[in-house]
Amino acid sequence: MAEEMNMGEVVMVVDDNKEIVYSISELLKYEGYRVIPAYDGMEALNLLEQNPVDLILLDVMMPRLNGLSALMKLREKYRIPVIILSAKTEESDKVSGLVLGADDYVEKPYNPAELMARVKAHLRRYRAWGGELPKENDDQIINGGLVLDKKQRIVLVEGEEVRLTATEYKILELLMEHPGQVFSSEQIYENVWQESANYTVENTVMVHIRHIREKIEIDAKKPRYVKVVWGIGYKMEKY
Amino acid sequence: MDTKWKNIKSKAKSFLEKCWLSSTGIAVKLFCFVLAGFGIAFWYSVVVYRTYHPTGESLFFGILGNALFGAGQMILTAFLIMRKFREWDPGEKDAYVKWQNRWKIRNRRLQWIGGTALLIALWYMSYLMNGGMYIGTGWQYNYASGYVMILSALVQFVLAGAVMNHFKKKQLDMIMCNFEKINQNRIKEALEIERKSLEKVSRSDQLRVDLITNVSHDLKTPLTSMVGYIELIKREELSDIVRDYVDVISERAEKLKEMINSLFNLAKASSGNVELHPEPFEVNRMIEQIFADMDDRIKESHLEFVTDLTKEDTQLISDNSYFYRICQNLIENALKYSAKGTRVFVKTKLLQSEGKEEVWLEVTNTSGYPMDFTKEDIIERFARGDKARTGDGNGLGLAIVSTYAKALGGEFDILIDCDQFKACLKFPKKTT
Repeated sequence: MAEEMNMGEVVMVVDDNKEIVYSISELLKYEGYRVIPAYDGMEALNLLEQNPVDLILLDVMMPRLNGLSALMKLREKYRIPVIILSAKTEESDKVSGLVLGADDYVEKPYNPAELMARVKAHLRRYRAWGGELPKENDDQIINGGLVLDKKQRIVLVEGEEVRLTATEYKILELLMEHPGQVFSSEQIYENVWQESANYTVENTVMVHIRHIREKIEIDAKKPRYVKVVWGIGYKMEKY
Repeated sequence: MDTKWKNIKSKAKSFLEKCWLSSTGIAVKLFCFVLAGFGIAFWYSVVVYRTYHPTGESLFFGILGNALFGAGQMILTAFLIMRKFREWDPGEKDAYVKWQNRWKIRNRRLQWIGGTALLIALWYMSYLMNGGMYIGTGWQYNYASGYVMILSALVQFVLAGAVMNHFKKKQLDMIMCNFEKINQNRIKEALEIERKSLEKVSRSDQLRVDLITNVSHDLKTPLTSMVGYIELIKREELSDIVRDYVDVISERAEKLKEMINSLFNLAKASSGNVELHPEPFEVNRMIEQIFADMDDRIKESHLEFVTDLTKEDTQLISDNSYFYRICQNLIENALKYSAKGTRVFVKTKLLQSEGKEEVWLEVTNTSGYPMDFTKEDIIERFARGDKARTGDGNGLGLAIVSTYAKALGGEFDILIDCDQFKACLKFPKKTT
């Protein structure tokens, strides 16, 4: 992990389990963040009133005020990134978290490197855009923390530029222009290469998709943006 | 439904009581006795003054006597039946059997009475034929009074029988009517019981899912602490040996997490709480996607994957995320357990059976471990077996495949031949 100027950024860790709060706090301190611990949703909201906080790691199942309710409350006032950290792994739990305004969802037990990478990425975006997403215009397509600048032909992930090849850029442009829409490999090929697809196409497209994922996703195995729709095709998840 | 059923019962009762006990009822009864008395008086005059009456007169008095006695007797019989059946309940459980038995007795009584009357009439006739010497006055040549009495006995028997039959039929109607109600009630009861038991089942299913959810949460919480502290240890100055130890612990913690998730998914699926979102997808395409997705792991594995996918259309309408887990688990299984340097074959084809099309998928690999287990050991692992614990897998993969295949309406089978392991899947190509 490259050293960055992230000194002084404040992360609030909210979990009713003291050991989990302590271990995550220590890991965050290693990365150079300041940490405010909280042990339930109520306490988190109170501490949030008194301290400037840049990012929240939020557990869901907590006494007094659970994570989702706390999230709803704090979203009335704050736009800081919130990463839900929960042992609930079902798709419905993730969806309800994201719908209520969470920026990300990390399963417990977390992978430490991945968690740190996500914290870093969300803070970077927050720093770059301050909770507001940049305005979409004719030259820019924006989806979550992903910005595609058609004029400059560059892609920004959470405020940081990533280098894509021309083909990768074209595929990503196609997917970002139609977020949520599923494209088969043939469709992607015909759109990007401008020629009709043949038998070997499938693999070519898939390899490119994998490369794109490795570049824009924090964890290519658990993609947030470019998702596989099994047996059908690929799509850009809409945020 | 219930009120109607009760109505019939109470209506029948009140009707009977009214007739028997009311003042009009008593008046009617008295009147009937008088009628019957006049009837008897006529017969009496026919019999006693037989020598004074010519044949025509005897017949006329006989008819009058029959009419009067018959009217009185019929109404009184009706009252008697009403009184006897005052406590009768057509809604009773064995109403039909009871009704049958009671009427058997009543009919027998009627037959006795009728028979006795007929015998008396016949005796009287024979007495006349013998000259009528015992009672009254002198020799008798006119048998008219004898015929009249025999006919009277028969007529009264028929009339009383008709009244009784009328009531019998009416009561049978009531019973039938009640039977219907009883049946409907029984059906309702049965449905209620079924509904309750279903509710119970679904409640216990819900309990089981809650239990699974809670247990997996409770297992994950300490594991989360462990993962955090392991990471903290890694950041300390460690000797090489301790670093190796910590790496092992770290790896195992990761495995434990996978296992908890697998266990959770398996338990959830086998308790029948699977929410499916069927949509059309291509099996062949999915397999290619999985290979692309696992490309790096396949390269690391030093195994050769040979695919033989049918050119035909392998579209299924099913839940593709569950189907993905099935395929991914099978390939994962081959990756984990194959002998180094061997080849893994992945094949799809279409089958025709009884006019229905089925998509067939098989994964064949050469095991790197001796396979001293049976298909049941693996598939029903969750319930029993402990034989299949080899290598670094948690062994739940194939149990998940089996459970998910069943949930999606497919079939899963395993063929083991020496070191060759073949997993087969069969899914009907539905159009709905």
